[in-house]
Amino acid sequence: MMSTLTIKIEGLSPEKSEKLMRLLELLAEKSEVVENMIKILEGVSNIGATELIETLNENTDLAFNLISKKEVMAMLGNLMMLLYLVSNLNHAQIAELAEKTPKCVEKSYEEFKKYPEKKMSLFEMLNMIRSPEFAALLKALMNLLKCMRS
Amino acid sequence: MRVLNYLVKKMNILILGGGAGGAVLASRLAKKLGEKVNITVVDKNPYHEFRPTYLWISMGIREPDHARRPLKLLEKKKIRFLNEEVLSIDLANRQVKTTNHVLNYDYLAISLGAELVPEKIKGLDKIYHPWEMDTSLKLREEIARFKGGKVVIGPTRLPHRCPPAPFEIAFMIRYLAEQRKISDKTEIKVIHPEWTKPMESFGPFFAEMFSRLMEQYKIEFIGRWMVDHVDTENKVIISDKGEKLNYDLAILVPPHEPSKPIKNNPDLLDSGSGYMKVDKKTLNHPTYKEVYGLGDIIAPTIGLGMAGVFAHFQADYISTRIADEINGVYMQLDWNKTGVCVMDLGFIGAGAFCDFAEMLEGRAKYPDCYMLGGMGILRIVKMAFEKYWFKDIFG
Repeated sequence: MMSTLTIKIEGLSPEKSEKLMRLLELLAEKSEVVENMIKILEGVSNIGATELIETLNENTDLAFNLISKKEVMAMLGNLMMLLYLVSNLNHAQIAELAEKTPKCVEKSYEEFKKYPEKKMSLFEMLNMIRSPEFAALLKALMNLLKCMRS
Repeated sequence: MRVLNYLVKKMNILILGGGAGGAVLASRLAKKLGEKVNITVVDKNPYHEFRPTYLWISMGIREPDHARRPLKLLEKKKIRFLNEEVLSIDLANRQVKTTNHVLNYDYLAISLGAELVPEKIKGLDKIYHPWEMDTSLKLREEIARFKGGKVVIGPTRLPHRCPPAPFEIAFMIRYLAEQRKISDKTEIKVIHPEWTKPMESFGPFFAEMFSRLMEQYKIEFIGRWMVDHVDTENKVIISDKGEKLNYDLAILVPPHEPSKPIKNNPDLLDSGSGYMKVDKKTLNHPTYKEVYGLGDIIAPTIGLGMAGVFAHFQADYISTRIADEINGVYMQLDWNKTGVCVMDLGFIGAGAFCDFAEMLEGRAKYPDCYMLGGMGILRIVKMAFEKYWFKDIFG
């Protein structure tokens, strides 16, 4: 059954009347969504967030000027470069590192904790330097430095 | 004295030019001073145009109406707009003559920009470029027909608006060539009358970054190459040293000069820079303190490049100064001597930020510049800024 709702607003142009009619029809059709939105907005308003948005809105003309400062842009620029660096790292290597690092850190920390309160002998130290791991570390470091100088 | 003046009558603020500087200044003054003042903007162009979009218009991804709004829209903010040409400025009598009016002022802001004078170089009138709306549309037609070949891009003289733009176009052409699968037969060269490296004035970091990017995308840079004339019949560009560059597509930025009311007025013309005379610290005219200059018309005088972002921040500052004088006290934005530029390089969008403060004070050789990353998504940032720009000015 259809019902009629009469609202009288005077002085509206035909164009505005039509717009208002369309809006009212939409409002009635989506009333559930609108009611929910009103409840959400009420909550937002109760914590003062609408005032915050209003203040930001009133000062949008200052925003671009205030953002365009070295302290903000240098941070943003460096952050973007860090993201670029991360995005360019070899994914397979990062995946291997992600998998092995926690285990390796745990193991090395155990070694660190249980190392006796004594100085390392020269012989022990030389032996360690001659290990394949130490040689690999030196090689890797040298390659990194060479690459950075290029 | 001006505070007393305000008590007896409404102050007349006259703004010459409705570009980036003039339109932002009018909008800021209307917000800060409202009914206390009469604001009038005069411009021979009925539209305010967002010039960074010209590049996209020539690439077919934007239409003229995306890049402009009628200056008449300023009337929503109770700003009077006169679509007339400024004929002369009489500083001693505080009077400006336009095509239909003689206007008096209490404050005058001159933001008349720089005019393009292709007629200064033989053959340049037949070469199109995205530095004006009509030539952007003509360039679009040329790019539409481009099927590969030699492309030469660059400024013919300095200073010119938006120094990074020739590089931006070069990357866009390379991208378009890739998209059309004609990249292998497309050779792109960027020429420059002064720089020996790309973006040299922005410091070694930017020069290095741009050199690497250009190498990556096979764009050659030819420094210290000044165009003498263009032989459009044989499609050859000839330098001042007699060197020749053949082209199938040439995009050359014409020489710029200050608009006539400045050029023909010894009270306003700075003989050193050839542009408008201003105090480098305050942006006032050195003698007539109620007169301000902003944007491209003062850029060579203060040692900054020609770009909308500089005009924007100068407008923020000048509006604060005028509001401070009229209200008695008004603390707000100081002159922000930085610039942000988002470039569409086709393959990626790239943001750049430079702080010019130390350089303008003579304490640094170059501005302090930062790259704000390179990602496709930054193209959307540029589009968003275009919309923000119009909303900010016209509401």
